[in-house]
This record gives sequence, C-alpha cells and structure tokens, in this order.
Amino acid sequence: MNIKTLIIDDDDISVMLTDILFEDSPFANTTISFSDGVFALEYLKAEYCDDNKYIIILDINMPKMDGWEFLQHIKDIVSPSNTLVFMLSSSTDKLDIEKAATIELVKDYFSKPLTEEHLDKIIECTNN
Amino acid sequence: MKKAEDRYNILIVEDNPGDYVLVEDFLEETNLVRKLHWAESFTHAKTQLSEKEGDIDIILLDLSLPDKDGEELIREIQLYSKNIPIIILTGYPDADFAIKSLAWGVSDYLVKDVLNSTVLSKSILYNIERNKILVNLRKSEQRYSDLFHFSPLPMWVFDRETLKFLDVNDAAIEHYGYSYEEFLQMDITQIRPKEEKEMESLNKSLEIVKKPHHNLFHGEFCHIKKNGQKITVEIRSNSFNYKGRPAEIILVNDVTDRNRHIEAIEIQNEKLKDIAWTQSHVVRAPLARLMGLVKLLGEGRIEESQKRNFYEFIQHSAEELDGIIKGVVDQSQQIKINIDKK
Repeated sequence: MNIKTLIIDDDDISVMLTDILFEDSPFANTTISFSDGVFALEYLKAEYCDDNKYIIILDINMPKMDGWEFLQHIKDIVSPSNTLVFMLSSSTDKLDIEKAATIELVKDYFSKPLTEEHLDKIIECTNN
Repeated sequence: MKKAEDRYNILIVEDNPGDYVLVEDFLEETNLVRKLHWAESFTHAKTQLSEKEGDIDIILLDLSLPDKDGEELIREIQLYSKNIPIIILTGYPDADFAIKSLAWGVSDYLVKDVLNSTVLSKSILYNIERNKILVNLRKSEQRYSDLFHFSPLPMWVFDRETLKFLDVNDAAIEHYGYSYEEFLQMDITQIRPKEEKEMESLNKSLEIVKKPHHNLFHGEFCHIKKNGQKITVEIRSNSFNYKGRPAEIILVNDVTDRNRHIEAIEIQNEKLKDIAWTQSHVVRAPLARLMGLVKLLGEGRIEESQKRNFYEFIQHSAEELDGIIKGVVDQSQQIKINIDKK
C-alpha cells in the first residue's frame, strides 16, 4: 500500500516546516503540497485510488477554498478507511476545534507549529 | 356643654340685624357654636373670609345683601369660601332657585320663616360632615389626576369607539409636540405612520382592546411626532370608563434611544468577534511559523547553507506579526458607538 501525504496550506513556510519534520518519518518522500483546497481537490478527483493510504495535513484559513469546504467536497470521493485528515491551523479557537471533532474524516486537530509529538500521533493513527 | 372640638366657627352673612339676632338665638340653643362671626355685606364677608382663612367651618348666607345678591352673590362668595360649606338663608321660598343653587355647589337652602334650632342644627352638622367627605373625595380625584398629568411618561386616554383623544398628560404634550387642544381634535391614528403594515398592527391591538379587563403590553410601535420625527415606543394600556365613555388609558415608553444603543452595541460586538477571529487565525499564523523556525534552528537540524534563508524567514514573519498587531490596534480604535440623532 502506497502512502500519499498531502500538505494543504497557503503558508509556504509552514509547508516547508512540515516537510522538514516529515523527512525523518515514515512519510519521507511521500509528501505533495498544495497552496489551496481547490488544487488538492482537483488532484484527489484525478488521482484518488482506494489502494493508497492518504494522510492529509489540512490548514483551515486559505484564500480560495478553506479547509472546511475542502472536507465537504472530498466526503464523496474518499473513504475514512484509507484517508486520515489532520487539521493543522494557527487557530486555537475552541469553535474550530469543536467543529473538527464532528467530522468523521478528521482524526485530530493540531495548532501550529507542527511538533514531534504531533508527528508521533499521526504515525500512531496511521498504524492503527 | 359640648367639647370644644365638636363645636364650630360660623360666619353669618346677613345685613338685617333683626334676622342676625334671630339666627344667633337659634344657634345658641344648638350648642354648636365655638365662635360666631358676623358680616353685614358681601364686601365685609370677603374681608372676613380672607382674614380668617381656614378658621371658618360653615357660612350661613343671606341671599339679598346691599352690595350683591342672588346667583352673582353665590358665585362670587365661592371664590373666597373655597371648600367651606355654604347654607343659604332666605326669606323667600323659591324651589327652582333652591335647586339651581345646589347645583352651583351650595350645601343647603333654608327658609327663614320655618327656621328653628333643630332644623339649623341638623343642617349645620350634616353639611359640615358631608363636606368633609366631598373635600376628601375631591382631593383623591386630584391626586389621581395629578398622577396622570404629572407622570414623567407620556400618557393619554382615548375613546375606544371614535379613537379620539379624550385627555393627554403634560409629558405627552412635551414629547409629541402637539398642544393639549390639538390633541383633543385628533384621533390616535394621526400619530401613526400611514403605511398599511402599521395600520394593520394598530387594528390588531384595537381588537385586543375590545375585550374588557385587560392590562396589556402591546409591544413596540412606530409613532410620529408633530415635527415628523419617527419614534419607536412601547405601549401599555388598560380599559376603563372615562366620563361615561368606553376608554383606553395608554402609557408610552419611548425606546428609540434604547434601541439605537442596542443596535450600536450589536455592531460593536460583531467587530469584536472579527477581532477575536483575526487573533486566532491571522495573528497566530506568523507566530506559529516563528516558533517552528526557531525550534528547528535550535535543534541544529538546519544545514549551514540554509541558515541564512531561515534568518530571513524569521525576520519576515516578525515583520508580518508586527503589521498584524498594528492592524488590530487600529481596528479596535475604530470601534466607536455611533448614536446619531436622526
């Protein structure tokens, strides 16, 4: 089973930091980054395959399509069995965290920056 | 002998000394007199009443005095007697005039020819006591009228059938700009906007008003002052009988300013929510970036050749954060409650 790690964030530096962390992880060389939900959605529409495992690191606040809208759109494309979404946002707003908890695809919510502890949780989730 | 407090100060207004002595004799028999005063003319009576204000309990009045008589005498002496009961003593029985004089406020009408101490005593006692009750009643009516007229909130009474204003208080006159006389020429639809929707809501509340014994809060309505200014008012009403007419008493609370304040506060709350959202999403973005960058540098995971870029990223993020914080300060300073008088 191939792992595909999608990093969806309009903040280049944030993407770079996530990438650096992932270099020393099981997800090294599996990352593809998108600066907006729209592009990631197009990718999934074209490339999604049930045999792959998708790890999606998703920002909330993005210009064209935000994280919430993106989740709405992919609901019908992906399956929760092979797709794990981790919200990664600068927001520490309770409303955002509570909202994320209601969405089946979302496995966890992390406030930026991404840390080793977050990474461990992602790995643990992926192995289960 | 009766106790002093059971006896009265009596003013006899009588130009005929013979008649005065006659009345004086009867009064002595009654044992009702504390002090007797005698005025021989209307002018003299006037002086006595002014001098002894509050010290006379009842007036016995002869109807024909050298300087004034009849109806004119009654009317003018009442200006000075105020609340003191008046018993007319006359030589001529005139039933029509007797009834009329009672209507003008005279307490009793006695004919001298059939006068005796018993009749006089009964009349004096009866009329002093009855007058006390009437004065109290008048004071009580006055108190209620004052409550209406001096209420700091606008109030009015309207006729439930014709919708005409029957009475308005000072606060209503001041608040709406119409004079008392103007109000009494108007009906209540004239202080309402002419729009259909407004008339509908008026009709609806009038339907409720038709049911007796309600004390209702009717909610908010739009009224128009004489100067055309629209105001929002809360209305409370109650039905009662006003001088024989089915009427409605209305209490008005102008909430225009209050509503404007609430609106301004709601706008302010919206702006504060925007600021909170900005804090969470926008301010934390460069901060989170800084934290991430510094951590990686600290852990020594960055190659020497890359470090220069990292310092630039840090510098850039710090500047971005600075700009955002300045923006937040500006935004919060723009929040002013604007309550423009329309």
